[in-house]
Amino acid sequence: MGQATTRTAAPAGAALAGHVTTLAEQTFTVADQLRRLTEDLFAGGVPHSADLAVLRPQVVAALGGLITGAGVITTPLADDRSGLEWWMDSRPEGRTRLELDLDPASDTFVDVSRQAWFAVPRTTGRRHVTGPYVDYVCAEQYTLTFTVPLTVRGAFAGIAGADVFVGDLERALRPALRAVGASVALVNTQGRVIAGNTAHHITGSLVREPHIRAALQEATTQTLADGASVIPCGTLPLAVLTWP
Amino acid sequence: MGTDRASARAVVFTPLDPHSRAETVVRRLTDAITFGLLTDAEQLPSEAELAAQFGVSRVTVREALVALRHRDLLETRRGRGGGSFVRAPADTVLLARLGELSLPNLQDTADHYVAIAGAAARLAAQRATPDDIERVEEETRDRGWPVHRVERAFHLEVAAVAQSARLAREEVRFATELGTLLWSPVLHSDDTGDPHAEHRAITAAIAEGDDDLARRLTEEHIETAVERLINLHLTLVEP
Repeated sequence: MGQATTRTAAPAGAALAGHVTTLAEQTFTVADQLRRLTEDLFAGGVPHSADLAVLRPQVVAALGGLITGAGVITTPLADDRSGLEWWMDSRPEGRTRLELDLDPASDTFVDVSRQAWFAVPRTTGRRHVTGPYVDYVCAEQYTLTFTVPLTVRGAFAGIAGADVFVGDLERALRPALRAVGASVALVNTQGRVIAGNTAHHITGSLVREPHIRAALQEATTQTLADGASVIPCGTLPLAVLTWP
Repeated sequence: MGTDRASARAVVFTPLDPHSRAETVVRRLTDAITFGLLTDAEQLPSEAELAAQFGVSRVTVREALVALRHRDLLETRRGRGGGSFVRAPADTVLLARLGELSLPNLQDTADHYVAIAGAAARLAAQRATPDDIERVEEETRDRGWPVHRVERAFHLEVAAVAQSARLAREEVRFATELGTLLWSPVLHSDDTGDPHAEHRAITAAIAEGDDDLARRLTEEHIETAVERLINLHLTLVEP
């Protein structure tokens, strides 16, 4: 029981998983473009924190659609200060540059190294989807943050990334959620619900189901004992759960 | 029903009073100065920067700075190297500020805060993953921070674990509005106990998934602090 079974027909929810994968990969493409531009800045040696300002047009251009925040945050640069070029708001008139309080003595100090969107790519050397989480550092919204590590001469040099508000993503997914025709929830590795189509699995709630992690590790669809299916979204740490 | 709804709507759309914004800025800066968050002779950011940070107009900031100068909490120097500089008051000024507070308003603000923080703890207990609990536990470590900073960090993390952006925003607001008063060093001596111990008990309830206990402990934690503040206030207003 609880073992994976092979299915011949695509399970309900496969189309939703495909839709989520496309949206997430598009967001990672944006992050990856910013990563490449930033790594190029290091070609002639370690830049100063102020040098990151040249990225501003491309960072601002990355905003729009589902992307409500984007930019790069580096480890300390030639002037011993972290580079920070992160902009928020998808509406042109609302654009603001993120200011982080990097003074450890301050009440509102933000320890970037403690944030999963920075720490996980640093530790694993791989891209990461953080959330859904309450982003009280940036936009004070319920957010998903997509980050990729910056690598300079083989060493971790910071992150490039993009933010998507959970509310916006839910709205974008609503037709696909409805089309499933069964109880469905999009969850992360921990089973945290990003979007669902029933009041029982509402955004922010938790599906305590250990098989989600296993299915994501193997990146294969699994059918659980109660008939529920876990459909991984490509190689992302996200899965679609459907209940019969 | 119809009239209830209409009157509720009327309240929602009541115009914001521009003077109350200046007063809010005055109150925040007064609290920050009297409670030592802004230190003597420290230069304040420029009018434009303050306006951007508070999200108000420069006119409002200017109005607030004039009021603070009248209260001798700021000094303005002109010319090169000029600007607004903090004039830190003696302890008596701090106590006078507390004595000036309206007790019903203080109680009302505190009741609101208890509701917010209690609800956040309850939801956190329902929604925390093991990773989340680790983050909250980290906030209960002693890092030598002042009490108000410890309290802000802990309750903000709990609201984040509750998965509620609104409750987290309210936590940030209360930390600014009430936090410096409620968790002032004046009110906290060795006999008021270790704030980390109460935080650890709340964290344990969250980890257990005991939502009722997490809420009750959080409510008691804040109510005890409010009681201390009110007692000090009453001592101060006695002739």
